[in-house]
Order: sequence, then C-alpha cells, then structure tokens
Amino acid sequence: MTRRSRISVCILALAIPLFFAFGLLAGGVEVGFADVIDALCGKADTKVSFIVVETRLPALATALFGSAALAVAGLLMQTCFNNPLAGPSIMGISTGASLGVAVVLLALGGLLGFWGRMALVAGAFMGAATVLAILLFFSGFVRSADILLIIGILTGYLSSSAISLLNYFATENSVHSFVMWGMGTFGGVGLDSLPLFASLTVLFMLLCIPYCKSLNAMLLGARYAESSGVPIKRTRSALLAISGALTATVTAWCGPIGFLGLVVPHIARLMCGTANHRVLLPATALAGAVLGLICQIASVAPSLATGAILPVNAITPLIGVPIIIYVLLNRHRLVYFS
Amino acid sequence: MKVLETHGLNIGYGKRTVLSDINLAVCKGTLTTLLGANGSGKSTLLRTLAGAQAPLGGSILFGGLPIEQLRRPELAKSLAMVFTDRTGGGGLSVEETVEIGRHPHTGLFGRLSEKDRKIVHESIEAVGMGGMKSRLCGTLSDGERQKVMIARALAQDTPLIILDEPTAFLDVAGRIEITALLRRLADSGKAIVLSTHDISSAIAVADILWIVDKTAGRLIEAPRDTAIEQGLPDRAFPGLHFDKTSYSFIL
Repeated sequence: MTRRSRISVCILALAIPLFFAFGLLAGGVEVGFADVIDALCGKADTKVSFIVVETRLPALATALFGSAALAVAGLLMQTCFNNPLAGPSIMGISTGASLGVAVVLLALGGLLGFWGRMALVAGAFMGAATVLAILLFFSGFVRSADILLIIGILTGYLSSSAISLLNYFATENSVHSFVMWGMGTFGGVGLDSLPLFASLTVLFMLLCIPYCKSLNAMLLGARYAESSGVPIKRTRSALLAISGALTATVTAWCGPIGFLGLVVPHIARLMCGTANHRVLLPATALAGAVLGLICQIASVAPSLATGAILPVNAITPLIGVPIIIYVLLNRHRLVYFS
Repeated sequence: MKVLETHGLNIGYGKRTVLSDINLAVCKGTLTTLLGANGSGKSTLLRTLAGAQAPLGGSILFGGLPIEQLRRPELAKSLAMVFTDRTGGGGLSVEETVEIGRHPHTGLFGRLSEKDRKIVHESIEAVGMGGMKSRLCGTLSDGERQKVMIARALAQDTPLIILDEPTAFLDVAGRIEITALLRRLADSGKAIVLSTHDISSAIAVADILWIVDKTAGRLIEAPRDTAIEQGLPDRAFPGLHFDKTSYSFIL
C-alpha cells in the first residue's frame, strides 16, 4: 500500500465517526451534544431519546451500511464490465427491484402495515433477483463484457416499461406510495430491522474479500485473467451475484438510491491513486459510508428551517454528476481505465 | 523434455475445420516460431493450445496430462500467454501487474511469500523494467507495457510461454528488444512459442518453425535450418519466396 493510499484510508476511516456524530446533532429539532450523550446512555427524556436513538441513529447507520454496500456493488460491476459507467442503477438491478416493489404496491393498494413492508422487501429482492438471473444466464455463455453491459441496460428498460404499465393501471394510493418509495430514503429502516440490514450488507461485503486477487487480474482483461488461472465465467457470475445481493438488500429497505454505486468507486480511485482492489475495496466501502452520511445530513439539514426532509435521490446527483463528468473528461489522464 | 504435445489435433469453429491432424511437440529450451498468412488459423491454434477454445478432435497434452483434466488454475501453472491487444489495468503499478503472474501459485487471498516476491522482482529485472516498478501501467508506452505483460508471464513461472503477436504495435527497436529477450528466455530453459508478423527476426532467433500450409489445410513442424533448406517457409505465403541469405520473403 502506498503512502497516499494509507493516508486516504485513514482520512476516510476518521471521517466516519465525525460525520456520524454530526449527523446525530443535525435535524429538524435542535438537540445538543449533552442531550445526544444522555440519549445514547439511556438517560434522556422520551422525546429526545426517540429523536436520537430511534430516528437519527438508525437513519445514519442505514446511510453508512447502505451506501458502503452500494459503493462496493458499483466497484464490482465496474471491474467486471471494465467500464467506468457500470453500476447497480445502470445494470437494471435497481430497476428490477423497483418493479418488484411496484407489483407489491399494486397488489396491496398502497397500504403498508408491518407485513406490507415485509412484502415490499420481498418484492424488491424478487425483482432484483429476476434481473440478476437474466444477467447470470447470459454471462454463462456471453464472453464480451460490453454485450453483457448492454443486456443489463436493456433489461432495465424492460423493467421500466413494466413499471409504467403497472402505474397506469394502479390506484392513486399505490402510485403515491410507489413515488415516495422511489425517492429513496435512509429513514426506512427502524431500530428493529437495523441489525438484519447491517448484518446482510456486511456479510455480502465480506464475501468480496477473497475475490480481490481475481478482480485485479480482471483489470487486465478477460483473456489475461483466464491465463492467470481465473475461471472467468464462474468468477464473473459470483461477483454479479454478490453485487446483486448488495443492491437488492439496500433497494428493498431504502428505495432505488442512484449515483452512489456509480460515483464512489471513482472517488476512492482518485483519493488512493490506484486500481488495486486490496486497497480499493476497503477504501470504496469507507468512502461510500462517508458519502452516505453526508447525503443523510444534507437531506435532513433543511428541516430545521423548513420542516421538510429532502429525498436522498435529490442530493446524490448533485455530488455524483460533477465527479462523473470530471472522470470522463480526464479519463486518459487518470489512466485507471486505460 | 516435452512440455506440450498434440496428437491428431483438429481445430476450427463448429463444423468448419481450419487445420487438421496437427501433431506437434514443444520441448524445454526451444523457441518455436509460428508462420502463416492472415486467416490461416494461427490465432485459432494458439487459442486451442491455451485451452480458450475446444478442439474439434484429437488431444493436447501438458506434461503428459490431457488438457481436459487440467482445471484453469492448474493450466495456468503449465502455460502463460501474452496477447497482442493493449491491456487494461492502467491503475495498477508495474509491480502489482507482474504480481498477478503469481496468482496460480498463491492461496485464496493471494498473499505473496518471500519466494513469490523474489520471482516478481527477477521477472521485472529480466525485461529491464526494474527502474519503473512503482509506475502506473497507464503511464507507460505500448512497448513498455508489453514488456510488463511478458514479465507477468515470466512471474507465472510456467515451462511454456505462448506469445500471440506480442510485437504488433511496437516500433523497430521494441520488436528487436523483445525478440532478443525471448531468445534469452529460451536459452534459460523456457519453451517459447511465438506468432508474429515480424518474420525475419522471428525466424532468425527460432529453433523450430511451425508453418501453416493454408492450401493443404495442415501444419508442418521442422527444425529451422531443415525447414529453410527444404524451402518450407514458402508454403506459408503462396506466391512469395523465402530468401535464405536475407531471411526475408521476396516476390
């Protein structure tokens, strides 16, 4: 690991507790530092405790784990397809999850109790798994990563088309619920679901670690990876399955969060100055967590003045688009994809 | 000692046979040059030998074992490939790229031992890139990058290295440098198989010639001097004649 990589990873690791602590203070109701400490120690009154422990803490933890998961999914896809624009939302997996949710909301008429929410999660998983199954089916015999990427994009279009049809025939309540879910939020995971959400995202991210070696070989292209002993079809299928599982988990609870999966791997590469996955994988997870916390803070920050919480998907493009444009314009100078 | 042999090998695509009844042997310490016109099946042969394409018939043996019995990581311990195309991996340093050559010899997490590091270091030095090992590959010239890929193949520490037109995008100096490097590698005990359009220098350094006789649809194997004596290179390029004195083809 180079000095630059070490410093970058340290900065990112230190930024997480800082932003997390700041996030506990930020929101529509002013809560002081001492109140936050009291709430975390169980000494605060019910109202403050509810705000800090049951609202802000799970939302920040969801932003941390969810964004890290999406970022890692994006990194896996960009390497698998050797394309800087690959990502969970581009490959149709997020759209597949949206289709699953649209089906559930149409069936339930937009009414969500506990079991309704569980059905929503199941629907998102099923939708993402369907798109993933299509991609895995084609990856079994399609060698070209570019063609596979195009198949993913086209599958996403098909899912969007099905969503439009469902919305056309849906009730007003269903459409409203679907639109709200589609805006994306880190506030949808309660304290009760948080352990499951965090465990799943961490587990799927840990599954990537043994693949660092293969991911580095895949940077040289499929033929060189095979020549270095990587069973390319099996490895690509496994990596797509992991990135699909990461995306489905986050989308099921938080809605389709755009741009994080696409942009965070680029931030990690720019910071660390390398494409080596032994450095890039942890750096991407950390950078994803930091960016997720920033987005969560930015989404609740206006609520102090206006009472309104912004959807996460209104914030991620503001950060993501300039970075993507910078990377594309400087693609040859940055050399990571050359 | 034979590192690779084929018996009655047929190659091609689907029902179309490109070359048939190929019987070859590659021995340690030899440099073999594959000659043939465009579209004669050179790359198909190399892909088939590398296990990237299934043969239509016959057998390929690595160290006496049929290729079908070797899993991908085991095959990577028998054979390293260098391709003509420009590689990705611009964000990896020279050292990190060459380390990929050690992957078949490392465990699940790819941790390198002291021995692995020594082999990586020696491979980088062998291609003359010792002063650039921290440079990102994306900042290297095409020639330097191809040297790194040869170093990666060396680090793979296989008895056989197959190179499919490795000098295609290099200037004259780069071509001569890489051809000389391959000769040195063969002298050090490696078996090298080389397909190239830089015919004169490739024949000059070869021990064995594989000549694709496209008209007859078969492959001829002969020691270089015998092949030249019998005028066999002429069969690779119908209409041209190989001149023994200048080591080049003339009309």
